[in-house]
Amino acid sequence: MTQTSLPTCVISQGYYRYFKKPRFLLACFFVLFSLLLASLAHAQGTHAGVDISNVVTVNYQVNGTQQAPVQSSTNFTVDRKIDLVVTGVNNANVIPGDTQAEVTFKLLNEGNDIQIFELTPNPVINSDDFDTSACNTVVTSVTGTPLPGVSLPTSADIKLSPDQQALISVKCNIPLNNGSVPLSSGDTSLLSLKAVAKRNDNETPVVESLATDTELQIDTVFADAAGSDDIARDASHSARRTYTASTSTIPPTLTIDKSILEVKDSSGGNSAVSGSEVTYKIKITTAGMGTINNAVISDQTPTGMTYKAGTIILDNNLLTDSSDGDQGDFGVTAPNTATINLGNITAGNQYDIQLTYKIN
Amino acid sequence: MTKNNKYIKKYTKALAISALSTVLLIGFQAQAAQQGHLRVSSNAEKMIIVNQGGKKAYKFIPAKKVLPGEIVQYKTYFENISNKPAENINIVNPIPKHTVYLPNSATGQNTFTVFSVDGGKHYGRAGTLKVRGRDGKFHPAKPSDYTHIRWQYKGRLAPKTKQAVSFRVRLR
Repeated sequence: MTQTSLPTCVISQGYYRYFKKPRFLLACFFVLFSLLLASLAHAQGTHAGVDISNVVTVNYQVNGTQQAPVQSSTNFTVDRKIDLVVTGVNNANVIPGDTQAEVTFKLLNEGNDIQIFELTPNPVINSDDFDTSACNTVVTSVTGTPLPGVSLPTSADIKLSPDQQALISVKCNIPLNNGSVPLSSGDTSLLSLKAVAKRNDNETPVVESLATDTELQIDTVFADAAGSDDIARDASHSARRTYTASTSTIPPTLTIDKSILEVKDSSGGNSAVSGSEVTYKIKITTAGMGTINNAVISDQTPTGMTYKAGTIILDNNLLTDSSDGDQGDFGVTAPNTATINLGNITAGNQYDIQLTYKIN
Repeated sequence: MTKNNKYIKKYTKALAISALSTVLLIGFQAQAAQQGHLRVSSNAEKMIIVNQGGKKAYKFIPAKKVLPGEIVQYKTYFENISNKPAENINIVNPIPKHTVYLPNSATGQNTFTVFSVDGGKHYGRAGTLKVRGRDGKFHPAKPSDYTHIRWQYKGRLAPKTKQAVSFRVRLR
């Protein structure tokens, strides 16, 4: 095979003179930026099973006479990439004997196909002080629209499309004692949550293709990294959260802090004028011990402003405005108001909410 | 006007019909095609990085297991299997759907390479092409705008000789 020059970015030999020109540099930057944007739009790329076909046509003449064109083609099928990331979100401060204290996680499908993930919590980890028990795992919300057949919240395996992320709540009971010794302040318990890509969209099991590769079949490739309690390329990923015990009886408290994150006017500046978009940040912090029940955050549209549709963000997850699988809505629970239902919060958790309004 | 160009004009209609029937006949199944004086074959290979004595090296393996983001090299061989020289050889390759052309990756000995950004209607050298943006103005084309590559083989391909052209894409 002839070895050819490697893909260097935009500039090749003989074109270095352009490199000195600012306009060329700007063009190069624009190209790279556009590629970045394009890659962000379809982060996980071409869907598994898509056929990539290449057809080449050769025209030629012999003795001045045009000959029939000759074609040749090659085909291959995009294979299935299994990739997932579990991230720990919230830890919990607990009192010995607490029931169903919550820690939270996120699971992102980084593969290029719909997968069904099994979630398994493991409270028995050697390097901590005590173990929790009776853990219940529930997917509370997903980004975007839940896939057909997915109804939330659910304790069943969760089906996610490429780029879709699930927010997961794990609730465990806190013991009074560690063996015969009562828990003391500062004792910790680690909880590991492992997600495994178990089945494909058609319910067939996920199995890595180890036999001879085939062009026209969907092979399965494991591309996941190692997590806290699993190895790389095993179709699973895991992360840990911490329960910290305290014997003090400080009741739980909740603090809300609303601030302006950004003002954008139509000409790209930061003036607060008619038509400008104002993004608010609402930070919810909890302290003390125990559980805060049924926490609901309502943000009424400020006078002289209009809500910009589709801008409720909870912990970097974009929520929809309708009343559906996620925790937020606009104008459904209460008119002209953004409502974010945080449910029961174990003290120690914190949340970031963002929303955008336009100045009338 | 050269004799050859006269023939091109004269036979354009016949050529179009013949090209269409060729497409219909060959479809997408052919691995390699053999017709008349030229034998044309093509292959797709995936570029992988291997460790060669502690250094990064690039290797090409048949494109069977391909994931988004990976680089695929297409190579087309054309061989004159007759006893007469072939001339005015044009190789046209649309950029496969779901892939992006990698800048500076088109190669071919003794060829003049041009690109199209409008589905093969017009061709120009890399760097000279423009596309109309959303603002209605023309901007320099990006490699992701390329829709077709055309190699024009300079001179004649002697009997019993073989040449190749290639290009690379990244799977979106």
